[in-house]
Order: sequence, then C-alpha cells, then structure tokens
Amino acid sequence: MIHRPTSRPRGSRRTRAAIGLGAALAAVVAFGAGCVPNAKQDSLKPKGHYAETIYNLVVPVFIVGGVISVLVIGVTLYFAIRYRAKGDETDDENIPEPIHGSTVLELGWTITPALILLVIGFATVVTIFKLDKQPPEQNPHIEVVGQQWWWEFRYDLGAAGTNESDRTYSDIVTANDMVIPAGEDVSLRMSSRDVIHGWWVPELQGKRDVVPGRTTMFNVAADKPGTYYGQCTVICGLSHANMRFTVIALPPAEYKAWLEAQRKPAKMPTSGLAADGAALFKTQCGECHTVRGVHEAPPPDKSPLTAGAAPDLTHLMSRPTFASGMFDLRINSKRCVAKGLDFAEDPSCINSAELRAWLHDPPAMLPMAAEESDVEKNEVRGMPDLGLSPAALDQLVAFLETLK
Amino acid sequence: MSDVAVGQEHHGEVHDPYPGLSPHTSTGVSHSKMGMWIFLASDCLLFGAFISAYLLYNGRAQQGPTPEDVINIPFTSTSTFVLLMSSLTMVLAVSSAHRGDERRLRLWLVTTAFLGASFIAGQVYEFTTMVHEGLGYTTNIFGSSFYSLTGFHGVHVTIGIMLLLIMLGMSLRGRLPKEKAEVVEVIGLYWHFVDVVWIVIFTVVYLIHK
Amino acid sequence: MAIVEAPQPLTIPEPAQPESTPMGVFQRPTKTTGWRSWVTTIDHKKIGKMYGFASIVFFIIGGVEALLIRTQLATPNGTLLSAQVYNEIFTMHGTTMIFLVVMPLGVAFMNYFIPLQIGARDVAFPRLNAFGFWTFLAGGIILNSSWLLGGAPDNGWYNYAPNSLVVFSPTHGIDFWTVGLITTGLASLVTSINIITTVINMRAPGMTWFKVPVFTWMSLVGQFMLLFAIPVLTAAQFMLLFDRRFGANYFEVSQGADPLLWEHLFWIFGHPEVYIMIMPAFGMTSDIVPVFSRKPLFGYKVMVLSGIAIGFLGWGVWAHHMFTSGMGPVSVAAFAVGSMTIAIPTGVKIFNWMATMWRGQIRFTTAMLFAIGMFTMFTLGGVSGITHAVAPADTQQHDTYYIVAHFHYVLFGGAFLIFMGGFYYWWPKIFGHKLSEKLGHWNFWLMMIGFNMTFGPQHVLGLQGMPRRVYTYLPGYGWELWNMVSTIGSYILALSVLLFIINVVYSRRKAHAAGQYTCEPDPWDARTLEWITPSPPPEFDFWEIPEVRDLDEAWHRKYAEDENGRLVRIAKMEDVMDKPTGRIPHMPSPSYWPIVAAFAVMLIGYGIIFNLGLCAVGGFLLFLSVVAWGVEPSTHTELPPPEPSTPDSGESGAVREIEEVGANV
Repeated sequence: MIHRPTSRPRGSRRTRAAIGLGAALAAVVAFGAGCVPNAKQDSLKPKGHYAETIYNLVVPVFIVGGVISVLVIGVTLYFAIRYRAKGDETDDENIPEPIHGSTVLELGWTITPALILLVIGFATVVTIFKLDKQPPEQNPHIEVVGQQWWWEFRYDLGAAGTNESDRTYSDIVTANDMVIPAGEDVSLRMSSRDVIHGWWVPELQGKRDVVPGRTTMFNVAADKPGTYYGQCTVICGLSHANMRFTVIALPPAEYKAWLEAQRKPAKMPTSGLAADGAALFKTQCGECHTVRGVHEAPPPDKSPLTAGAAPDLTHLMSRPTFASGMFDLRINSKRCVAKGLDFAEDPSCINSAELRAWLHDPPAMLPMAAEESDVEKNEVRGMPDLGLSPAALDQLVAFLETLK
Repeated sequence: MSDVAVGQEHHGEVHDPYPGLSPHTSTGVSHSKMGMWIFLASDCLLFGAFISAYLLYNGRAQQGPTPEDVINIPFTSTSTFVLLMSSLTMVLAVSSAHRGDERRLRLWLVTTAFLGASFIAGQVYEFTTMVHEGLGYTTNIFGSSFYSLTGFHGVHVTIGIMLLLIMLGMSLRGRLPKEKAEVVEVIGLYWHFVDVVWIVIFTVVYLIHK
Repeated sequence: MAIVEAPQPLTIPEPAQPESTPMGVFQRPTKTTGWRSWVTTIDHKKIGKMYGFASIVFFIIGGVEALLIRTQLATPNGTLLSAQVYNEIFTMHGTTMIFLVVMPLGVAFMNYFIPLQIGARDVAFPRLNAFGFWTFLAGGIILNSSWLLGGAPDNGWYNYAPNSLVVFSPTHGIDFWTVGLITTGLASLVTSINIITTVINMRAPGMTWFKVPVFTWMSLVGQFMLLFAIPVLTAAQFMLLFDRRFGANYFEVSQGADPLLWEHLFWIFGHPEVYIMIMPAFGMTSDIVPVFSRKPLFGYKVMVLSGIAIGFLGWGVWAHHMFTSGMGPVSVAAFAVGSMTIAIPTGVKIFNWMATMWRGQIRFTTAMLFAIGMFTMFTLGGVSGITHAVAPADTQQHDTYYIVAHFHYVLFGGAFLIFMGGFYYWWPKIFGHKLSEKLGHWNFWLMMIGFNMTFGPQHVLGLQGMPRRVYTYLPGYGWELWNMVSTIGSYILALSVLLFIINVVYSRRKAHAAGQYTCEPDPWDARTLEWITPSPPPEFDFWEIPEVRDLDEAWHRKYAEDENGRLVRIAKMEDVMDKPTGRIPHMPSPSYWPIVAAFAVMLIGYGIIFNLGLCAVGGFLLFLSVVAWGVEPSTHTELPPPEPSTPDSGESGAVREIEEVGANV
C-alpha cells in the first residue's frame, strides 16, 4: 500500500475546517434570521450608525464563538467515536493509561482563551465609550418618557449652547411615533413616570431602561428616512407586550416642516359635530389629555398614578398609529402610506373605525388596569371605559379628526 | 495494595475516626463552633445589605426629620457602652463555664442578659422619642432605613437574650456542667458578633451623617 | 454480576427510659418504617430522597407552566392565556425552576452523596438538615398556594421595583413571592451551614483536601456562595415586604428612593445564584466522565482551583444584568471585562473533561451520554454568555429571547442534563437497581432533540427583536416560524420527561417483581468512596469509617500498578467494600421538632400575608419547638445492658457502639 504523505499537517486542516464550519454556523443563524420577510425589529439589519457599530463589534464575536463551539463539539464527538470502548478492550488487562494532567495543556488552554478575550475586551471597552458620546448641543433633543403602557416624546427646541439642566422638553409633546431627522444624531433624555420600562428600536440602537426617579442620557440615529419599529423590553404589567412605538426618520427639510406644523396649536372647531366633540372632549377626556389651543389638562403630579399624563393629542392626525402603537390610525394601504404624515388630508386614509372602537371601550382592546372606581381615585393606569354613547363617539371622532 | 486491615477495630474499642484530635473532627474544632462561625459570616451580609441601603439613602429624604433632627448621640453612646459591657460579662460567663464554676456562670449570664435588656430598653425609649418628634417608620426613607436596620439588630439582641436565659435555665437544672462549657462559648460568639455589628451601625448611623 | 445481598439495616429497638426525666416533654420518635419515619427522619439519605422527589414534582409543575407559555406563543395573537394569567405563569415558571427545582435537586444529590463521598455517617447537623427540607417544602407550598389564594406573582422571577409595590401590584401575588422565597432562603441558609461544616469537619481519616471528590468540592464552593448570597436576597425581600405590608419607603420613588437599589441587591444575589446552581453540576460531570472513560479526571487540581476561582469571581460580575440600566460607561466597561474574565476558568473545565475522554475507553451508558450532553450544551450556553459580556451587544440582546436561549442552554443544557445523568449514575446506589439503559438512551436522545429544538431557535428570535415576557406578539415581524418550531420542541421535551418517569416506574416494578431490592456495590466500576458501600447503604452509611489513602479511593482499592507500571486489577469491589463488623453504630434518633418548626415558619409566612395574629401564633410555636429541639433527650441516653449475642449473625443483640455522629443539632 502506498503511503501518501498528506500535503499539510492534519491539525491545521482540522482547524481550517473548524473555522469554516464556525463561520458557516454563524451564517446559518444570520441566514435563518435574515431569510424571514418583514423582520421589522431585526438587530442584525442595522439601519443607523449606533446599531451598525454594535453589529460590527458583535459579528466577529459570533464567528469566534461559532468556531469555539464547533471545535469543542466536534472534537468531543471525535473523541467519543475514536475512543469508544470496543468489546475486547474492556477486560481488566487493558485499562487506559491514567493521565492525570498536563501543565502545558492547562497553561495553553488558559492563556489562549485569555488572549482572545483580551482582544474582545479591548474592542468592547472602546466601543462602550464610543457609543456613550452625546450628540452636539445643536442636534435634536427629545425626552423619552415611559409610562404604563405608552411612550411619550417631548421635544426641546432650545438654542445650541443650552445647558441640559435648563431644558424643559415642553416645546412639542407627542406620543407613540417619534419623528427625527434622518442622518442626524439625536440626543435622548430618558425617564419614566411610574415603573421601569425599556426603550428599544433594534434597527437603530441598543436598548436603554427608563427608571422612575432617574434620568439617563441616550442617543439614536437613522441613516435614511423610513419607519423603524420598537417596543418595551422590561416587564411592566398587563400591557407590556403592547407598549410599542415607531421612530419615523424624515428627510431634513420635511423634518423642519414637521416641527413647524407641530408647534402650531390646534384650532377650536366652531360648528358641527366637531364643535360638539370639542366640548365633550373637555369634560370627558380633559382630565388627562391636552390639546393645545383647545384644552390644557392639569399637570401630572408626582405620584405614580397620575392624572393628566396621557398622550398629547394636539396633532393626533399626524401620527400613523395610536394607542401605544398598537393600532393604525393611517390606513395601511399603499396609497395612504405614500402620503406619509399628511395622510389625514384625505379622510379616507383615517382609520376612523378602529379609533371609534378604541374610544368605545379601551380596556376591551388592550388589557389595562383602568376601572371606573380608579378614575375617581385618580388611580388610572391606562385608559378607562368612559361609557360613551354612539352619539358621543360620533362627536368625539369628528373632533379628533380635525387635529391634523 | 489497598489494605483493608487498616482501620480494623479491636472489639470493645470505639472506632475513633480522628485519633489524637479533640474534638474528633477533621479540624479539631467542634461542629457547633464551626457552624456558628459560618452562620455569623453569612449574617454579616444581611447587615451589610441593610447598612448599604441606609448609606445609599442617607441625605435623600424628601421631607420629614433628618438624622440631625432626631439623633441623640449622648444617649445612644451610653447604651452602646452598656452593650459593650455586656460583652465583657459574656467573656466572664464563658470563663466561669470553662472552670466549672456554675454559680458564677449563672451570675454572669444574668448580668449579660440584664445589660442586653437595658440596651433594648434604651432603644425602645429612643425610638418612642423619635416617633414623638415626627420620625415614624413610614415617614420618609430615613425612617424606613433607620428603623429597619436598628430593628433587625434589636431582634438579634433579643434572640441573644433569650438564648442566655435558656442557658441560665439549663444551668439551674444542672444541665450545663463543665463538659458542656462549649455551649456557652458558642452563644458567646453570637453575642460578641451582635455587639460588633452594633459598633458598625453606631458609627455609620450616629457618628457619620450628612 | 452477582447481586450481593447486603444485610438489611438494623431496626434499633426502642430506647429505654433514661434515669432522669428529660427536659423535653416528648420522647424522641422511634419509628423506622412508614410515613412517620419519613416525617421524623434525620437520615441524610432519606432527606435526599425527599428533596429529589419534591424537586421532580415541582419540575412537572414548572414544566406544565412552560408548555402553557409555549402553546400561547406558538402563533401570533395567542388567546389561550390572558395577559394577567400569562404574566403569572412565566413568573411562576422561572421562580419554580430556579428555587424549587434546580437548587433543591442539587441539594438532593449533595445530601445523599456528600457524606458517602467523604466517608461520614451523616451530615454535621442532622436535625437541621431535616428542618432545611421541611422549610424548603413550606416555601414551595406558600409560593404555589398563591394560585389558589388570589393569584400568583406576575412580575418576573426577579421582580423589579417599583412595579412590585402595592400600588402597581395590588393583589397578594408579590407577597407570596416574597414570603415564599424568604422561607426557601432560610432553608438554603441552614443547609449551606450544614454542608460546609460537614465537608470541612467530617472527612474520613486520610482524606485531605486534594483527595476530596470533585462533586463534593464543587458543591462546597457553591454552598459557600449560597451562604453569602442568600442574606442579600433576604434583606432585599424584607425591604420589599416592609414596603408592601407596613408602608416603608425603600422603593417609594416619590420619597426619594431608587429602584436600582432593588436591582443591585437582587443581582448581587442573582449572579452568584447561577453559579450556585451550576456548581454541583460541574462536580457531577467531573465524577461521571472519568468513570465512563475509565481514566482519572484530567487536571483534578485545576478543576478544583478553577471552581474556587469561579466562586470568587462570581461576586464581581453582577451588574452585567444591568448593562442597560444607565449605569454609566465606566461601570459598564468594568463589569463587561469582569464577565469575560470569568469565562476563563469555566472554559478550562470543558477542556479538562474533553481531555479525560481522550485516550480513554468510553462506555456510552445513559449517564455518560448526559454528561457529554451537559458540557457540549453548556459550551453553547457559555459562548452566548460571552456575547452578552460584550456590553454593547448586550444592549441588543438583553431582555430578548436571545437571553432566554442563553440561560436555558446553561441551566437546562448544563445543570439539568447532568442531573439526569446523576439519576442514571447513582440510581443503583440509592435504590438497589439500575434504571433501564434502553429507555435511558431513548430518554437522552429525545431530550436532546426536544431541548435544542425548543431553545436553539430562540437565539434567532431574540436577535430578530422579540422581547421576553410578552404574552403575545403581532404577525408581520418574522417571528412565526421559529416560535412554532420552539413550541413543537417543547412538546418533544415534555415527552422525554414522561419517558424518564416511565423508566423510573418500570425499572422499579421490574426489579421488585424479580425480588431485587439490593444490587452490587459498584455496578459501574467507579472511582469515588460512595461505591464501597452496599447498594443501598445501611442507615449508618459505613460499617467502618474508611481510611483514605488516595484520590479516587474506591478505584485504588481495585486497581494498582504492576511491576511494569501498567494498571491492573487487584481486587473486586465485593472483596474490598465496606463490610459488616458485628457492631452497629448508634445513630442519632429521629425527631419531631424539625417539621414542627418548619410548620411554625409556614404559619408565620401566611400570617405576614394575611393576619399578623397568625404570625404571633407561629412565632410562639417556633420558639417552643426550637427550645424543645435544643433540650430534647440527646442520643447519649443510658442504654440497656447488652443482650447475649448469638455466634453467627453479629447483628441482633450486638453491643451498641456509641459514636459521636455529628453535633447533636
């Protein structure tokens, strides 16, 4: 039998195979993830530079992890097969040599992982500090406030050079859909009004918890215009799973226009169903909801269950979603979506039916802790069922649809 | 070759697993004493957690009395001294037990218990005064963290007093002879621990505050 | 192999009344059979069995909760469970699996085998041991009774404040969580004191520290961690309890409190906790792999030292659970680097197990399959753990299904798989018959397939943005496929557990039908000291406390090097095992007080939740039972004079030897 020498040492061939398999493993996972359509919250498809930075750091780590996993499992399986007890070996004369250890091996497999981890650790620390840099003062400043079970976004349009402590974050108050300019870093001040929530929009950034009694500074950016989806990540009660939001990145010019429009107060309707609706709004909804120009709700007090802490509805009709991002206010058709945030110009693009269903019985649409008795005690979490008649609903919806 | 003959007993002899070591444990320390040390090590962390919480919340009360308003250092120093003296009498009790002097043992046990009870009485008086001055348990975070910390310590002292009285009872029934002196020693360990914890609490809460 | 009939443990006759009236009102119980013998037992083997049985019952409860979760999440917009019920189910699933399954299952094995592995007759404090079990059971009952008494806790197993406060959680659910876990915490604490004292103080003559089996070593490290971790958790839980019950302000934000205090205190416990859970698993793997590779453990000293290293390092990484809490980059960086560091001693263990297999003679018993399954699956879990340590990556992974995947790989794939291996390995020693190997192989493969199918896809779900603890999800996010796969996997997993139960019942019936109640001492040709005893061991464990000369003492009694330096067999275990000596060591008597005291603790627990008067009753009963416990007649009461002995049996009527068996605690 001719013995052919191998062209390269077996060990290195095995290592190359392992690296290949490890990369393949990582690729399979990524493929398995990426192959799925509509992966709206896919952290492996970053669309903003913060998320990209994280992605670029973690992918090599995944590959290293894949290689290690394949090596360990592969070699174990190899040993299992190669050194399995064969029938004639299990007698008392063929006991394997009792190898107690090897200092060289121990040092080797301690130092090698340590070196790998040193590199990963160094890259990690550098990235931590890189991501922590706050955007310049002239960039958009938005306060993110978590509350059971929705997200409030408050804009501060203070001039560049304003101290953080002087910012009031009250120039524009909106909810559910956070509008930002594409291509710009946005400074976020994060807090909570009641319990700990988690704010996460995977395509743009990692997550940050909002803790009541504390504020934390964070940041976000989107490379291109688009809609990016997020939701709450810390268990916060009944509708934790429903506490969604979107980040809508607009081209800079459109963002400017949006800011201008949002700063304007609403106009009090003077006639028709909408006027009746406005009056009804003040009595039925005014304890909690503000519509600038029509009604100011009393300010939220310090206690965790607050009155007056409900979404500001001044420009409700400029928001594609409502009720914590759970329902579409903008009809989800190509035509209406193409209208962007101006969809309410065409009433057929307003999802009146769902809005009406919500107003009719909110706790039936989303699980909340909003009993009638709690309303009187000022202990409402979520929106209560106000027992509105069909006529009242018509008036309210008519009024709300004027809030463009 | 393994030798099964080793360890073979002679009839009539008790097989002593640790010949030469007294008590017959691997370390020479009895199980009771070892167990008490180990328990006290864990108890350090219980107090550590409450002390940490107290320190974190120091100066953060939003309203209500602050430490400066209610703390009475002279008074508490006195009761601290009383507790420290009880550790001394405890040492005397242990020493009496080791000598087999049961009369003195009982005397020092009673004294230690009495001093401990005086400490508790002082705390009760102190807390009632504080409540009158407006610092209740639920008043603010200072009240909650202060009373919880000192309260846990007080419970430890009270349990210690009960243990001392039980030992007194045992001694009166003749159940605590010289051979059983270690029981007193082990309870003594607990008592000294409670004392040391008080020194830490006194320093952190009473002597150092914003 | 011949079945060796070990002599039946001797029933000790009723002790005579001592001369003086004992201070205790009651005599110590004497039953050795029947339910009363279980309720009053202080025998570590019986207590170990009770821990094991209780853990499996809780495992089934937790498993049903898991199946409900998976069924709900199989499709988007699931309607099987309401949001409230779902939140309770996942909270109870996690709490049950950690505190009522993985921890006590480890303790079950520790309780049964540590004394046997170190050559002791019992643990240092036998009555405290029993108290630990009954208190654990009380805690489990308190926690699970919440289902029937107004609703279970619903805020996750780590129960962040302030959502745990009354204003946000008005039902008693959270109180059951707090009180139940304070109770099990008490059990854990006394058990850790017991095991630590036992291992330090009761090793057989000659068993120096580096001759202690790795299972005992790793368990010791874990118990030291538990000793220090439990008080921190207990303190936090008292703070929460005081806030909820008495209006304290520990987590009242409007009063200036900081919810992160809860996070820090909890995770200072919580991170060591996960090492506490895995330590006995590491130890078991280190005992089992060498036996079925027919080679000593590679790198014994390194294995011991790396375990100790983990025991220390584990205290410095807790805030990697808080990377997204806004701690600031310096803290984040420090904990990231620390978390990577702890991967090094952990990885070393895996390489040493592999090297043990290398050049061995591997027998694929079910126990070995589970051991190999353990460290391969643990590798996957450990690797995903390293990706979490990369803190920026963790900001994407945290609170998603990627984390759920990670911890199930290390806890189920790591700890639970090797506990299964431990069952198969140690079953003949405990029960006198083996579990069916054929059913065992089916058990293993089904479990591996089900487990990987359930938790593998969850890595993908997490990276694709699915948060955890969500009672449902919307369609159109790309999560449907892998959720369905995961659910199907969970049913296969459930089937494999059923198969294990069937194996237990079937093997027992088969053995008993054949009259087999005992078996050979050493069916696996094993290495550590427990295998020199009969199967099952007598009540007093060893007729004669062994003299230990070597690491792997049992192995060295059977094998030695010949003149050529090759290992050859020199004896069968039957020849060198622990043999009857004609005198029966007098063990401490059973006692009522542990279960009575545990019952008192349970009353106090319910009293805190419902009625402080009940607290007072429980407190008083606790005081009485502890006093009675302390003064009840010791084991060294006067004994009747020896009866004339018959020449052959050496059993009945033998002079009873009085031995110091632990402290009379």
